[in-house]
Amino acid sequence: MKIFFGADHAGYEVKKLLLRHFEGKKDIECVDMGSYKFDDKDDYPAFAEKVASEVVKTKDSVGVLICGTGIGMAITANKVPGIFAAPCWDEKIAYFAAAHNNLNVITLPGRRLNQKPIEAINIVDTWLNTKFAGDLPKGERHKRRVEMVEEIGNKYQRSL
Amino acid sequence: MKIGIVSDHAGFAEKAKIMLILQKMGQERDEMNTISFEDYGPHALNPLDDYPDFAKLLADKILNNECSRGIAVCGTGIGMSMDLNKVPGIRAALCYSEEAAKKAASHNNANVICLRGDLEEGEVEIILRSWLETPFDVSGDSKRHLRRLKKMEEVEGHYLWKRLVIRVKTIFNR
Repeated sequence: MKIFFGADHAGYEVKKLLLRHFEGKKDIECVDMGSYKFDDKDDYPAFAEKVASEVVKTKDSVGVLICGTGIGMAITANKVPGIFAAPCWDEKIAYFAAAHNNLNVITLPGRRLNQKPIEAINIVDTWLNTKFAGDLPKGERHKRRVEMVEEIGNKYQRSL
Repeated sequence: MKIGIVSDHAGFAEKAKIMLILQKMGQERDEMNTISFEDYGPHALNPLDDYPDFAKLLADKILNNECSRGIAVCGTGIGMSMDLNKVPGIRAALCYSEEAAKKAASHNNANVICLRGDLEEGEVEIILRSWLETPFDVSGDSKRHLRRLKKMEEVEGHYLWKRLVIRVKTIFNR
């Protein structure tokens, strides 16, 4: 699996830490999409788009985006067709994000996780290791809902 | 300011709590600055309903200017937030804390907040107040937030345009 990482200045430290943790892991290929150096004037949308567009193009890939609260990254990444992104602030939410919503881009609150680096790793691990319930026999409803989300994106794009 | 409120079954009970808080907040304010809200559904608990139906309803109301802001509640808030952010012009923030709600208002100018269904009453009130009472920060050196929102809208516009081109091409290739 390929993981694309992106962060602005508020998520720079957490991204570095996550890259250090996931690099060299079996079956995981990490790609750093920036920012490559700390710059407190950089803007989150640039990194959100880079990661989102790569995830859409690349088979068997997911994205990790980090900004101050995870909100800006999630708003921007969701604007890209085919991307399901949301902020995950703890392991429980990360589990549901994977199991119910089939999130392919996780966004993290960098300012909150700066003090708790282990938690950042645990959140991403939980998300990566949880299977989408929509593919299981009893999870048909989750699949239906996620498909509806994609339809809504298409509908509004057509109406404009 | 008029706020539209929706939920799915997992946020149904929370929606009722939120409306009580908004009612209280509305009474505290003077006439010029009042808050009104409307419940767009569901109006009865149906364990089989799907969050995208209600997300779509809220998005339509906001785009038609029937309300200026929205609150959407589902189990975790994730489904609603993914869904609403797919709509051009909507900036939906999943608010998990007071801090997130403040930043959603001051940095992201969020016109919708999404909440999870198991928030305590005290927590919800703090989050709602933080979001409604924090202005979008465009003062002095804070132009950066506006610049970032514009860049976000460029991303949105880019993909709208791309879709349009693909559609025109398929029509001509027929």
